Amino acid sequence: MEIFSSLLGGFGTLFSSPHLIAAIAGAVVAGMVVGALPGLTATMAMALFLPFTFLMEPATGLAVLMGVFAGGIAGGSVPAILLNVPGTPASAATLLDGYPMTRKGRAGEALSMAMFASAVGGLVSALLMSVLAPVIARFALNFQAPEFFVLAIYGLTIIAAVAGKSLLKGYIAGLIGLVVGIVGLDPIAGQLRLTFGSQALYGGISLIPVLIGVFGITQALVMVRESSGVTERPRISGRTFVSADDLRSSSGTLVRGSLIGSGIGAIPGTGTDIGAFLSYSEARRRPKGRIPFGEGNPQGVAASESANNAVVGGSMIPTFTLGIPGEAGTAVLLGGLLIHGLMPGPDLFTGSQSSLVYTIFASFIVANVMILLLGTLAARLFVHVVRVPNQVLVPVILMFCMVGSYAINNRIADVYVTVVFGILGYFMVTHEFPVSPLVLGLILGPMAETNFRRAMTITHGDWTIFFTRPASLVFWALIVLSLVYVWRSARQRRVQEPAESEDSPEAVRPT
Amino acid sequence: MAGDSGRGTPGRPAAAVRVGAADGHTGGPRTVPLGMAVLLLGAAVAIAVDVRGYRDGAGGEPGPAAIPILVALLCAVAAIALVFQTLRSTALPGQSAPSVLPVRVIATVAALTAAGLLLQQIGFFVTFTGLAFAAGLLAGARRWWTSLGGAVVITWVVMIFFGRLFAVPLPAAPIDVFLGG
Amino acid sequence: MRTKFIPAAAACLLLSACADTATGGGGGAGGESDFPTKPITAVVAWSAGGGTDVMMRAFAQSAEDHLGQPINVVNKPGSSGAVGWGEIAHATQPDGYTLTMVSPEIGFLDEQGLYDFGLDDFTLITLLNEDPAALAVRADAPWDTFEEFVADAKADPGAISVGNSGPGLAWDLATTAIERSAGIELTHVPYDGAAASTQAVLGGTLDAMAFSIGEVHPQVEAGEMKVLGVALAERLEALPNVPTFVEQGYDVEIGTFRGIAGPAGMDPEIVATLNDAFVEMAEEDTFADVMENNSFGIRVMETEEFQPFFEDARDLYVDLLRESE
Repeated sequence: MEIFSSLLGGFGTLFSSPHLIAAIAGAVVAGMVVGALPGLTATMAMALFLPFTFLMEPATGLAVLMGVFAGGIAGGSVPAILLNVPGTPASAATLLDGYPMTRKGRAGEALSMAMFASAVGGLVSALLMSVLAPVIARFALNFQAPEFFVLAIYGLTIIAAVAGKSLLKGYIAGLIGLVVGIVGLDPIAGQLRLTFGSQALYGGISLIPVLIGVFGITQALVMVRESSGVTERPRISGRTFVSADDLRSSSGTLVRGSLIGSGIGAIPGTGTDIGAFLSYSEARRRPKGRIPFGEGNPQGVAASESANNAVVGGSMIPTFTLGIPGEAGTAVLLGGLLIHGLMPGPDLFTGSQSSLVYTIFASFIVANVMILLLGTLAARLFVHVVRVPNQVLVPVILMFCMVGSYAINNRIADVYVTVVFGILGYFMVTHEFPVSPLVLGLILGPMAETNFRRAMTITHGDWTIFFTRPASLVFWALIVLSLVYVWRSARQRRVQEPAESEDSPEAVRPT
Repeated sequence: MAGDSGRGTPGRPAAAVRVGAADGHTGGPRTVPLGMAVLLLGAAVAIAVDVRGYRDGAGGEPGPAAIPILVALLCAVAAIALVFQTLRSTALPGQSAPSVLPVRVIATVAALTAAGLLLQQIGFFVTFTGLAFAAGLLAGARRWWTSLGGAVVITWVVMIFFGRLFAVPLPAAPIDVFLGG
Repeated sequence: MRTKFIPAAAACLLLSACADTATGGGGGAGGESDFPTKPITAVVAWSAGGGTDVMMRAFAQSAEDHLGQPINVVNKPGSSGAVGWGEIAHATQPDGYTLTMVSPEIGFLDEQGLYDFGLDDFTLITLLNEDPAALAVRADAPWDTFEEFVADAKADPGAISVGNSGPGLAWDLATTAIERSAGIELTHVPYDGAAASTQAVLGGTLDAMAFSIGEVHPQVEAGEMKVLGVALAERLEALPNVPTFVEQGYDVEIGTFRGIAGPAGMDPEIVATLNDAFVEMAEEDTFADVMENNSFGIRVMETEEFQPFFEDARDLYVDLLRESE
């Protein structure tokens, strides 16, 4: 139990210097603000901040980077829940149940559930990271091109879970995502595809402008439409914290979400968005509680938010032990480590620098506690956003969407992408085409294709590699289970509600 | 590459089809699903045209054309299925459902498009003040001067926040520089 | 489509930003003796947080003191660098107030039709960094020397897989250079960068990877990987135990480098001012520390050497590119 004494030592360092605690608090708040704004990501804030860590004490600099990272992912849930606009791709699954909760006057509960779940996910992943990092990192190395392919295919089966009323329309949305994912330079053979000579499309159509379009712009257009008719504003219930009952019934979901997120995070090359969607679809499979998923079930929020913050902790595992950053955020963090002369590797946990590493872990744990404290406090303030009238909200949403999509890469082409997909999203949403599958298709399509072809290159065309490796087999089994589940629930639906096909117009919203 | 000049990107026909649907009918229950089917078929055709020039895969990998062809086939199948589903479904009562394309939505889309096109020409501040002002009115603001005042303030705050704090090089006209962007 | 907007954007930016120093017509021809008089924009053609970005930010922070003006780093990523560099090449005044960090790609990606600009569209100022390619394998791989690796590759052509960062990009071409010098055939496998490639080598699906030595430095230090050869004339100071290809009898000298450049047609006086400041800066510890900690090799080269150095590198890359096609 040397690890725990090391960790305690880390806490000792942390609590003996109040400025460190203050720095983490400031970083969490900054991260949450950045995460809540579509287009600004935690990665961007970390990269901007990185040069300043050159000048700081290593512990302070790295604690701040961790705080921004964790806060950014948690902050993305705030606009997702209140406005149906995810602040970061990580929260794209949160709005599936978070926004319906807001429509039902339960915004305060949804927000506090999101913060609570984020903190739980972060803490579970932090503990796993401090205790088992080297073991998990070894295990995650079994995850290679064949597994990435099968994981992506499994992820695509989630479309059925988020499709809503019509499976066909869900798959069509997913297909649009796949087509969009083809555009650009093919990463295996270097072939330009579907660019039609436009240099702006060489790099492909990136996720975040599409995400801002189909959720943000679409939502603003839906709100404009509402204001032509009679509007009923969602009320805010008296409750500002999630009920003990909901917490109790979500405990299983929270634990599963945290574990799924940590696992996904430990595999370099996945990300917070994939972790959240996997956890959400897993939670859906065990329906519990009175409210169905997709109509404001607090467990949907718990599943997504616990998983996406757990991915953050999990992604530190390969970064610290193997020097392999899983995605952009951890790549910046790795830069921060290297700048302070910390070489990733197993020695990091035992060598002369280990006290610093455990201070970093302790700061990550403290950052997650801060998310719970500051987040629920801020939630009391944020819920009032739903009282703000449309004539104020619509301009603000549009403004942040347009600026946000420009700010990702500082280019106007991304703004056009956002507008085009916003209009497409509006027509989809008003005709019961869900937009989440489009996002899933865009995330997972390129991942599936690239890894399929990469594996085929290595094996010289021998496709048996997809069925002979143990980790792939596990995912094939999950795919089969998932398809059986889709088939069964589709049959049930057909038996249950042949008459109930019409829906009320105000149920219209991006899902 | 001769046949693809008029087709645009997969995203573009979307807008074209939508707008086309917009001027004739006010978005009847069947127009949009059928438009979506056309969009899918368009994507399938675009892929079919585009893959003709692709190189072959090296060393046993299926090459850059394989997956797009599969996706194009799925698009075609889905389009046909969607057409059948839409035509088979019993027509909705229709009259009571609110229009999908009221004038306000069309005007908002126009404002967004205009903002995108004008941003580089007249700078951030004027463009976005205009967009926010228009969007406020379209979303039901009753007094135009509060809407305008709000638009000016929020645009300025956003400009300072993104331009200064996050060093985003927003397209600037002299007025933006004057206001500190 | 896009090129129409970039000039407009740049023109707007310049119009507003340069209102006070409008020299009219021949940008840079004015020969301002008190250059620089206002902040300098440093364009990174890659995303925030990447290698070039980290280096540029470290550079900007140190160079500010030597120029007496702030340097604002701006990321303009997209299309493998074509967006950010394209803007510099086509739509930026060569007045010294907009600079970028260039790497070998600007010399050869126009060959493949990915860029509509080339080396001639830039004024090179100072080279700051050079990282040779390294052939790295897992620590328990059956080869201890490049010789043994070559023997196995000859026995079964194409059986050994080598990871790179993308077809036709620098590390793919480095693999081609290795193949050519040893007369072997390898299977090139593209990955999304060094991290993914490292994951594949450590996980055992990929036999080797050809990347910059800096990218595998942490794994080599940790004893997870070993390097069969670096593509440099002499051994690296930082890794004295790592052999070069040259000393093993194979003529492979290739790698990547990064330097500061501006648009073509800059005033030589301004170039000299900038070059002096950058060279001075590169000798200081603050910059050197950041470079070292990120495993970036420092190689400073002044303007007059940088140009022929880049041209040689371009010729090599273009040659390899034509060969691999």
